[in-house]
Amino acid sequence: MEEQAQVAAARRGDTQAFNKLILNYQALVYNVAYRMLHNPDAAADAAQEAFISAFRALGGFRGGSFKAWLLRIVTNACYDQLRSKKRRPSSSLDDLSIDPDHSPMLIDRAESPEEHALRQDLGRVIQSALNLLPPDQKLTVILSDVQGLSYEEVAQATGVAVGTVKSRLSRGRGRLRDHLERRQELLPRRYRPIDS
Amino acid sequence: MFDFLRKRPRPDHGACGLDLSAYMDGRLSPRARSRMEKHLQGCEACRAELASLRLTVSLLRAVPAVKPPRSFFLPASEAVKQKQVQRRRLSYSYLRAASAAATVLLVLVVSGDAFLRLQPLGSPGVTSEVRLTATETASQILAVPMAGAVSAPADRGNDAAAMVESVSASPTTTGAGELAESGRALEAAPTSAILEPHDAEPAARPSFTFARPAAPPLPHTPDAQPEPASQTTGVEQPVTPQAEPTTSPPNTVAPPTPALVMVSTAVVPTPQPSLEPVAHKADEPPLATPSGWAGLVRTLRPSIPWLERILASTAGLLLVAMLWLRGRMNAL
Repeated sequence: MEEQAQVAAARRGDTQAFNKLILNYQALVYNVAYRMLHNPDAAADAAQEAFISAFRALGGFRGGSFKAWLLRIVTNACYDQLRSKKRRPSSSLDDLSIDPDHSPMLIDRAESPEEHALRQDLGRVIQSALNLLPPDQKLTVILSDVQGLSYEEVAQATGVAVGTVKSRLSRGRGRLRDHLERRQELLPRRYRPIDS
Repeated sequence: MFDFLRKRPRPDHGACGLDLSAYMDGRLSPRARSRMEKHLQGCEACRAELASLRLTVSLLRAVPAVKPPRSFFLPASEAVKQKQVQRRRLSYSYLRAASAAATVLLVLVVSGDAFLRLQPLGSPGVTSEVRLTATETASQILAVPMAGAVSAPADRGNDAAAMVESVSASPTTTGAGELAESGRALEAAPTSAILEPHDAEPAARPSFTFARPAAPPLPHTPDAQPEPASQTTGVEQPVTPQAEPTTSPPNTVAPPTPALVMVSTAVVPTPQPSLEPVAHKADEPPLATPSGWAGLVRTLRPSIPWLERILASTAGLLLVAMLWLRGRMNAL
C-alpha cells in the first residue's frame, strides 16, 4: 500500500518518493546486474540507468508488481551492456584486477572472517559457473535461485511465460550442476558434500 | 584425484527429463507429482540426480549478496527531465496521429482525383443520372399535393406543373445547360419542407443552427414558417443552387397526420434568421473555452494510439478501394 502511494507520487514527479523506492530496491537491482555482468562498474552503470529509465517511464507503469517491472528494466539494461561489450570487446568482463567479492566493504559483521572468506570463495566459483550459461538461462537462475523470486515474478521480469521459466531454470540448473561436479575441488571444502 | 573426470551416467527417463527441477520446486500437478514419486522410488539414478540438483540450488542460495558501491538516488532535477520526456512523448504521439490523419487526407484527395478523372462530371452518364434523380424528386414532391394532403393555390400548382414538364420533357442529349434551365424552373416553384405534424418549430429552424448548444429561440410566425430554400432535400440542392425566396399567400396546412407530410410553405422575406448566423453569435458563449479544450485534450489523450490505428487502417482501406476501383474502371 505504501509502495503504491510512493509509485503514485513518483509518477507525479516526486523524486523523494522515488528515492524511497530506490532505497528499497537498489540492493536487489545492483545484485542482479552484478551477477549478470560480473563487473562492479558495469553493474552500477546498469543499475543507475535502470532507475533513471524507470523514473521516466513511470507513466507507462500499468500497475501490478513494481518489483517485477523494475527488474524487467534492469534486465534490459544488462542486455544492452552485454550487447555493447560484444560490439566493443575492449576488455573482458572476467579480466578483473580486483575481485569485487573480496571487497572489504562487503564484510558482514555478523559472520566470522573465515566464514566470510569461504562464502566469497563460493560466490566466485558460482559466478564462474554462471558465466558459462547462456544469458536467458543465467538470468532465470539468478532471479529464481540467487534472488529467490517466484516463477511468476521471474516470468514478469523476463517477459516470458511461466512454462519457459520452468524449462530455462531446469536447463540452467542442470548445466550448473554438471559444471560444479566437474570443478568441485574449486569449491570450499565445507561446500563439498560429495567428498564429505 | 580424477574423480571429477568420471561422468556419472545420466538416466534417460522420459517421465523425469526436465521435470525433476519443477518437482523440486513443487510446481508439478498432483498427477505428475504422484507419477514422479512413484518413479523415484524405483530409480536410484533419478534420486541421485535430484539430490545433486538440490545441492546445486542450495549452493546458489548461499551465494553472498553484494553491497552496492554507492547510492543510486536521483537528484531533484530529474523531475524536470521526466516532465520534458513525457511532454516529448506526448507531442510525438500527437505527431503520429496528425501524420495518420494527413495520410488519410492524402489518400482521399488522390483517390477522389483519380476517380473524378476516370468519370468526369460532364460525361453523359453522370448527367443522365443527375437528371433522373431530379425528375424523380420533383415528381415525389408534387405527388403529395396532388393527392390532396396539402391544398396549394392554383397558380403555384401551375408553376409546379410547368417545372415538372420542363424537367421530365427535356431531351436526354443535352448537358449542363439543360440542368441550369431546369434549375431555373425549380426556382420559380414554391419551396417545400418536411414538417413534423406535432412540433413544427424545429423544422422551421435553419439547418446549421442545430449544432449550437444554447441558441436563443428563433422568431417565427405561426402561419407562415420561414424556411431556407436550401433545406428542401439533399438531391435537389445542386439543381436549385440559388433559390430566392418568393412571396406568396400563406397556405393552409392539412390536419396533422402521424406520418410525415410534405408541406408547401411560403418563404417570408422579412424575418430571415437562417441567413444571419452572426447575429446569434454575439449573444452566445463560445463553443469551447481554452479550459474546455484542455479538458478535451486530456480526455482524448489515452485514445490517441487507437485514433492513430483507426486512421491508418482507414487510409489503407481507402488505398485498396481506390486501386480496386481503378482496376474495375480499366477493365470496363
